[in-house]
Amino acid sequence: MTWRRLRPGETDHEALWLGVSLASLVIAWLWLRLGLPLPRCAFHDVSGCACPGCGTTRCVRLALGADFGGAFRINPLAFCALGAAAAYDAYAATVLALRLPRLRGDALPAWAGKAARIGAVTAIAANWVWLLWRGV
Amino acid sequence: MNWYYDQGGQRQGPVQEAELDRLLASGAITQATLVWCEGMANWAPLREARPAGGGGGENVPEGWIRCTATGRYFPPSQIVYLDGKPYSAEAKPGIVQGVMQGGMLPSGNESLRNGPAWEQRAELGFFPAIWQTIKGVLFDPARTFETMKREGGLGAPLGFAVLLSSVGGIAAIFYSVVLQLGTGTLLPPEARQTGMPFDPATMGIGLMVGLMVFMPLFVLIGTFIYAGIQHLSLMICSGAKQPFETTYRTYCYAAGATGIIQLVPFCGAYIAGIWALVALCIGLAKTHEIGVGRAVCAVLLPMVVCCVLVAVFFGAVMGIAMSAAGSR
Repeated sequence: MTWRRLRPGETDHEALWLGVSLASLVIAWLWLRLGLPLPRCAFHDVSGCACPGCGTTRCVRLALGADFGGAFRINPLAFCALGAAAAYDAYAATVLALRLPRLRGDALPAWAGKAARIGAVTAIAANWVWLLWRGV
Repeated sequence: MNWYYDQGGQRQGPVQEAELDRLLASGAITQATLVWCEGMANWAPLREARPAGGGGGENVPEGWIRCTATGRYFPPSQIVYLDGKPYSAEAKPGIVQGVMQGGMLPSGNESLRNGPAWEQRAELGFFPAIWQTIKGVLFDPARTFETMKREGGLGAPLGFAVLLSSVGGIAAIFYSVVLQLGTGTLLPPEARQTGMPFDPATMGIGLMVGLMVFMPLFVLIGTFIYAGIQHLSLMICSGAKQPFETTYRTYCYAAGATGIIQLVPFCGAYIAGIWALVALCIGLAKTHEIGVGRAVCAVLLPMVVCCVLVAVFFGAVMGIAMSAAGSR
């Protein structure tokens, strides 16, 4: 991982994902504010079992209400993803505001990529087991 | 591949390989001109940045031009331009075969990726470009994505996806409401009996209009979120051979072209969903140059993991539309 300036024509991921993140937040807030129906899980309705994404909406609502423990218990992976998104947004806002170099993984070693892949699959599977065990 | 070059201290570009060759042949730039492209840490003289034969290390004589098909360099006298791109006599058998078999110049080189038609809407015209792109993605996705530009910005594909998916999405809501009005099953029984925080009696028509008005915004944000998930999924499946931009462009063209199928009354949304998956699998396989099996795994992974986002959001939108219509 290196810190460097954007190259000509390179996608500005920080601006892009910060914008998407903020827009999603505004829409989610409006959605809840208007009392619109919350999504139901088709997989859960059909099978009676939680899907790997079940509890995400409740997790977000609890986290926004500052009940971090409850949010973590509902869906640990969604809670971690929410935290990661918040950290990335803070980083993106900082580098954009201060015009700092960006963090880029131009030449990640092969083992790092493989470890990340295995880690991601393991995390999803472990989270799913947790959801099924908890009966979310 | 897009190149930038230095001219009088000013950055010029981006230009494609073929254009760079033309500039070289015309003398506008030389092998000593500083250039830069994606993947380079710093600006470097052209002779170092782009060695002959794609890195073979040949010493390219001044003014020689790179053949689009073979990647080798030839004197200008041995080069002909087809569709604006330079080809050598050596490549003639392959070109003839490609034209005879597929009706197009042989691909396999980045400079041959100049599609889809939407990217040339300035020359083709707005509606012909849309039509040709839809036709290409729906009926010949392999060739369409084989020749799709993998770089070139997010704006054009975003515009395509927002335009067509919004039209399709609005039509799907409209048809759903009409269908439910006809059958008299607008609200689920529990909503009718107990009432819900969302009260269709007071929000019906306003919400319908609001959903339709904000549909482009939903599609806009949705393209980034879904393409981002798709790219992560490709990374997990070891299939992300190109940057996010390529995945995003592929997703937008696949989703946009198939999204318009929702104009077909009642069953259009279901057909569009399935067709989009097929187009996306083929598209990712062609643009990332990975096997179809790996592309299918990458496309299905978010469906399994994020079925809430994929299936239920759509269901919620339909539910709102139906509820809204039920108030009338």
